[in-house]
Amino acid sequence: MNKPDEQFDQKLTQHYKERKARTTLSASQQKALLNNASHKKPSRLSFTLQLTSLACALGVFAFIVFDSNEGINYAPKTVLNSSFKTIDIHDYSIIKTHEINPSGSYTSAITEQKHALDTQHANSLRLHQQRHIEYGTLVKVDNDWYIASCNDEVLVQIKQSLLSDLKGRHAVESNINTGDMLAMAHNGKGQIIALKHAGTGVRQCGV
Amino acid sequence: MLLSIKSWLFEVPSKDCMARYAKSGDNRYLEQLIALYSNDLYHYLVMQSNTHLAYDVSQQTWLKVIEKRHLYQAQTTPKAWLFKLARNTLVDEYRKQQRFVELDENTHLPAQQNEQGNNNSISNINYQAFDSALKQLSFVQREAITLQQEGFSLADIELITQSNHESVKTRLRYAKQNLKRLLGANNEQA
Repeated sequence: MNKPDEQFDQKLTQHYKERKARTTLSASQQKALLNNASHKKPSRLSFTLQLTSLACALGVFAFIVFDSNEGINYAPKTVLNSSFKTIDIHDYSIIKTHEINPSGSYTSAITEQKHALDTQHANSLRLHQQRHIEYGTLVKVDNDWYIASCNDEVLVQIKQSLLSDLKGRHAVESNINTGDMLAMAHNGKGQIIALKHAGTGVRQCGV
Repeated sequence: MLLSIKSWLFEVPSKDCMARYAKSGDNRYLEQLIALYSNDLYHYLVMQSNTHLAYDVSQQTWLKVIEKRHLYQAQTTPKAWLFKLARNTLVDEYRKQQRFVELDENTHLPAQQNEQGNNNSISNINYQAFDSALKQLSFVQREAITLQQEGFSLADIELITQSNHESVKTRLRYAKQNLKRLLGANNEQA
């Protein structure tokens, strides 16, 4: 640094000090600053409260989200003995879906569960047809026979036409009376092909 | 927000008043800070505005110190942090008042005399001439030279003005050059 620069810097510093000495807060201004600052409540508590509120809000949000997820069961149908009211999606044959798609337009769609129900029905039918012997109690006789099945509380009505056909082929045991436990024989197609007493081993359903 | 959480969770004990105040919120430390720095802060603000606005911004700055104390980090000097708050408050105030502040201006003021003439007149500079010359500098040049005279390092000035190293050095160089030119002219007139 050359001499004029040093001289200039000294002058600058000298002037700055002088200017600063002339430009100060008055006693009353400084007192006012102190008073204002002292009477201002510290925001530490409010910041802590903000954090606490944020944590609570996140907790409530998480509860709502997870609670909602438990409310709708997308898994295959299970026994639902929960104390909460639980929705099983498989209880509904039609699901209407409303949404805003990625392009921003409103779309709605119906997801039919017919295919699922068809599959379920086919499985049931297959099981039904595989069950060669079905037991039930003869509950009423008029022109038709009414047999309360041991399976799924099904009431089997055997029409007069079938009875006549079976009797014609000697496929109905004699001495069958109301209240008897009967065995209904099915063929591979699920058709009843014979009726007879269940026998001494089966006196009532479930035995 | 993350900075706030970090400072809230990992506060470390410190010897400086600002750090103590940031940690405890005790008004005694705030009073010490006001006693230590209020005049320095006020003078800087007067240099960059006027006495009325400077006092108003000064009050706002101390209220911000109270509100934002949890943001203070002990690795920065308390004085630099206070000045940064004050500067931001002043710039906000200028924007509210729709007053234009050129924060990137780094021009040479037109030379009114040759360098020889300036150098010869430096020893005879009076207070009013110096004050008038300072007022003619741009916002950022006056600010740079004021902060340097206030004892801040280049790194502190960078922090306060949120500028890079080269910008600060350039502002200081131009400020001095402009002052010399202006003072040469003013002194001749005096």
